[in-house]
Amino acid sequence: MKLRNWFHNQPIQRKLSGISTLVTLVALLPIASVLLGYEYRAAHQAAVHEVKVLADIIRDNSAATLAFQDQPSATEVLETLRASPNIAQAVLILTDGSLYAQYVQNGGAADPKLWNQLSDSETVSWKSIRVARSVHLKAMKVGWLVIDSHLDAFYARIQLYALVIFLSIMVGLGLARYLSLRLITSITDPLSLLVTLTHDVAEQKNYTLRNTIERKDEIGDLSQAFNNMLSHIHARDAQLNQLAYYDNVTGLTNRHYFKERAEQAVGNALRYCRCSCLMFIDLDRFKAVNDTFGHDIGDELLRAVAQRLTQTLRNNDVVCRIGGDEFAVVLENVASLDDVGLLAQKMVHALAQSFLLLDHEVFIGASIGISACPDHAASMNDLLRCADIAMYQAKALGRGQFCIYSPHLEAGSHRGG
Amino acid sequence: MMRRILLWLIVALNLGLSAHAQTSQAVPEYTMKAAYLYNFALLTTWPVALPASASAFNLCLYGQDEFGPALDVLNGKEVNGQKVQVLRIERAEDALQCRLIFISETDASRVVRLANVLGRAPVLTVTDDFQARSINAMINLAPENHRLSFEVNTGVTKLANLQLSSKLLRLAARVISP
Repeated sequence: MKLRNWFHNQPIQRKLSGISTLVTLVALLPIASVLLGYEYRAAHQAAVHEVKVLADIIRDNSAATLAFQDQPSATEVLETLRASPNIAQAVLILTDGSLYAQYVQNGGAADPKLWNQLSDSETVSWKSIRVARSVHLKAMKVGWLVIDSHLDAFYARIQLYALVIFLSIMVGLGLARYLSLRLITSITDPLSLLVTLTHDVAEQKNYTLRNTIERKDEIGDLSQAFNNMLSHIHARDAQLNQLAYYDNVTGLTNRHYFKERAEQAVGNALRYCRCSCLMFIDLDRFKAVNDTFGHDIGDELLRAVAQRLTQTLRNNDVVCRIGGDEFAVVLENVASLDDVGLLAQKMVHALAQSFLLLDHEVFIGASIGISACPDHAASMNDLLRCADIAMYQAKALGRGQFCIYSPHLEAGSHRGG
Repeated sequence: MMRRILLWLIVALNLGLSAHAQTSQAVPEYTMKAAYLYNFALLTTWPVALPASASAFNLCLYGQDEFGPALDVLNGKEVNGQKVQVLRIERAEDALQCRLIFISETDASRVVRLANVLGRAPVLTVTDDFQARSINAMINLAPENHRLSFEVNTGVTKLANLQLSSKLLRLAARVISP
């Protein structure tokens, strides 16, 4: 389980190369074991065969020496075994069971167990191969030959073979790993690109970023889908933006937008030493129209008001609907407050004209409060408050008027605009 | 109880004696010589064209019989599929029916007569007698360091068309070649 968790937490590149290494190992292991097993068998058979052949040769050569009881010659025949380093010991036994001649590779005396039980046989054990043969001169049995071979050379050969196989497996694994690392990058690189792109999008909130991976495989599909998803998010953002910043009755920007715009205007005014102004426009008698004619007519009226305000304004000035019957205008790069006063006067005049709604002539009016940055306030909230105060002052003066903020207003003194 | 112990003792004694006899290296000289003769017969190849009458392998003794029963042991043994028949011959003329002849004759004139009769006949001649050696016997036996060694005269065997095995030649103390 731990291993599984560990595996899950590895990067894909390591995962893939690990998998390929494992697969290579799994594929190589049966081959290696079959090869080793085959070599073991073949080498063992060859070793047994060699001892048998040696035994046959020695048997033929020693037959006459046994028949003539020529011990020195017999010893001489056995001594030829010295050319074969695997033969540990060999003995010639007379038919009566007594030792006649012996050869021991390391000197000393031969093991008496060799001729305990004499029969034509091959005895193979972990340590040795023992071949016993009866020796005949023509048809006459003249004695026995027993050859005992150790398996040191055999095991050395198997060890060498195992080592070679082990090294080949290592080389194979190394090659497989090298190749897989080289090939896997074609999968992992685009993935890394996608991951980087995702991080970039998340950090910069920039949904116009796109990846440029062009492939026909799953990664290509994934990239394409990712791009499509970004496009959808981008479109949805635009839609949300529309919902968030616009008033759906008048089509004007809303309070939310107004605040951002006002903040921006204050910032610009302070930064570039220009004058920015704020106008609060409050409709008089709107509630009465709404109550008398219903909300639909009220909405109609609001749209008409919006249209007249927009027509009055310069192109780059923004009018927003910030409440039920409240509108606001942000003016940047204002040359003088007198110009603003003129504009306000034009607006009051425009809204004082009658509106024709369902064959009814309706009269409303507007009160406008004006504040300027940096003249009256150095922050947006202060600027809003100033405009608000000015607007209430205009209402208090008897509606259908505009009022420019001045510090006296806060002290309670009244002044008409 | 006593009888049983006695029985055991006797059995044990017998076993010990027989074991002693087996391991003893002291093979009587003529028993060994008889065995050698048989080995020589085994390791020699005679020409194929032989008298049809020779259904048995005649192993002959010419001269004094020092073997006694040791030679008769060979009776009935097989050489190249033929049964050995031990013959003691008096007359040199009888030697032609032999395959192998052991010459223990000490009378020089009788030895020469045998040599004349045999000529180049394919008969393996073996001797341990110095007199006989003068007739160029093919194999000469001689005791040497408590064992029996032999020398082979391949010149004579070649004339008689006899083929001696290389194994035999290798064991020979001396090989006299022409």
